[in-house]
Amino acid sequence: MSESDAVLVKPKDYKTGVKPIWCPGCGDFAVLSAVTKALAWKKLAKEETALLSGIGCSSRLPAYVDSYGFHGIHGRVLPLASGLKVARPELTVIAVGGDGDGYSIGGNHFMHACRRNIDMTYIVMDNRVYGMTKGQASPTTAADWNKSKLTPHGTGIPPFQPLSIALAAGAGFIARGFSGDPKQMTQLIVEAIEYPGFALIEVLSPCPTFRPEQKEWKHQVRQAEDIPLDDPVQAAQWLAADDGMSSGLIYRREHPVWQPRHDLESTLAEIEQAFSI
Amino acid sequence: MTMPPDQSLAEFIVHAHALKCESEEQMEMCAASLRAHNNPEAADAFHLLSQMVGQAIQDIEAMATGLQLPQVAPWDFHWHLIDDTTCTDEAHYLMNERNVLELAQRNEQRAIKYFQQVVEVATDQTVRELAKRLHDHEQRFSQYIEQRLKQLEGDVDHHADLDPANIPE
Repeated sequence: MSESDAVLVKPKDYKTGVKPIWCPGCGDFAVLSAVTKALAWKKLAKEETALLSGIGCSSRLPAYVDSYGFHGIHGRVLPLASGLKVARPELTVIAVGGDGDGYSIGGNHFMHACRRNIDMTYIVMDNRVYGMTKGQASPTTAADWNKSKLTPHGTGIPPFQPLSIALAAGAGFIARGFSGDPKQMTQLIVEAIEYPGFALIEVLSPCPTFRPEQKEWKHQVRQAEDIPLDDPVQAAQWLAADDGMSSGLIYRREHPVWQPRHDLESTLAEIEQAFSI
Repeated sequence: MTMPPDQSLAEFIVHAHALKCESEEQMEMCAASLRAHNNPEAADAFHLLSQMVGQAIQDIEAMATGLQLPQVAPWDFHWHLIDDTTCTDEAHYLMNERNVLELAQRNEQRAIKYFQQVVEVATDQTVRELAKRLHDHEQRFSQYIEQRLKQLEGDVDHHADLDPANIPE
């Protein structure tokens, strides 16, 4: 606790006048709240912060945060965020989206963003369903979930394991939060922003409309214990044994950040010369 | 929720302010969401409750004038779970005014318990006095909700959703 004569911190100041249209009971409300609290705690200037997203319910989040924002195309939030951070390294870049956007349509970008290690935060609101298109199985849906009209007998496919894949692909900051624990989520977002490199936060964010049984998550999610933290081999073993309901910072190890130099500027004539045939 | 007995007035004000701001924000988000889902009855109820919480916030901010306030990290507040501060996960698109008031009443009971605890354990007289004032405010708020609930007897439960979103064919 630090003393200050500043006015009372109001995360509300980081909200736009646009009202969220998420379903009542959606976990994404808590993520929005945690993001604004993290920005308020960090006292990040609105013009020094950018939130970007892909497509999906959760990808509406940048519209509700008073900072730079970009609502991109499906699965492409990480290329957008990467380009922005490379061009404007002084910005705090936060990419957000859902499990379908990030792990399926954008799955390839996800792996390469992990290994490229550009300094940004990626928050994935995982509800294990495509909510915006009315409830189809997503990459993280359990193989036997049979409530969708498209997969009445379940998908029969083992769910994608984003944290294990992120670790294998070289991510240095891997965490899991839960919308039912906004204090922990806020702390994870702050730590992810401060981490020098690509930081992944998977947030268990229930969909009350198409996965109403996820309301039980509040009784199932628990604080992760005996976390290896900086040993990738032990972290892989730990993740393989985890049931996906442990929350907390699971792995943190710093790697060289990829950031191209900006002193290699050329004149227009030199660029034209380089492209001449 | 638990709090250290030796909390200063400034620390307590920061906690009380955060608690009420959280409550106001949650209710406003619920109101907006329910309005977007064509449920003006529940949206109006949330909005009215939010305005009442806003009055308490103004009261607290007036008390904070001139004080050197500590900055508390969002994860260092004395409450520990979403149940202590929030309501958005209990909202439902078919909820009615009764459901809204019942949800608000549960939140009020938690707030009353918190401020009562401060009154009982705080060593600083000014903290006890402010906690008592906020406790009484919450009591009046709770009584209003109770009275309103009595006027609404007979409303159906919102969980009776006859057209749920996910019915496998």
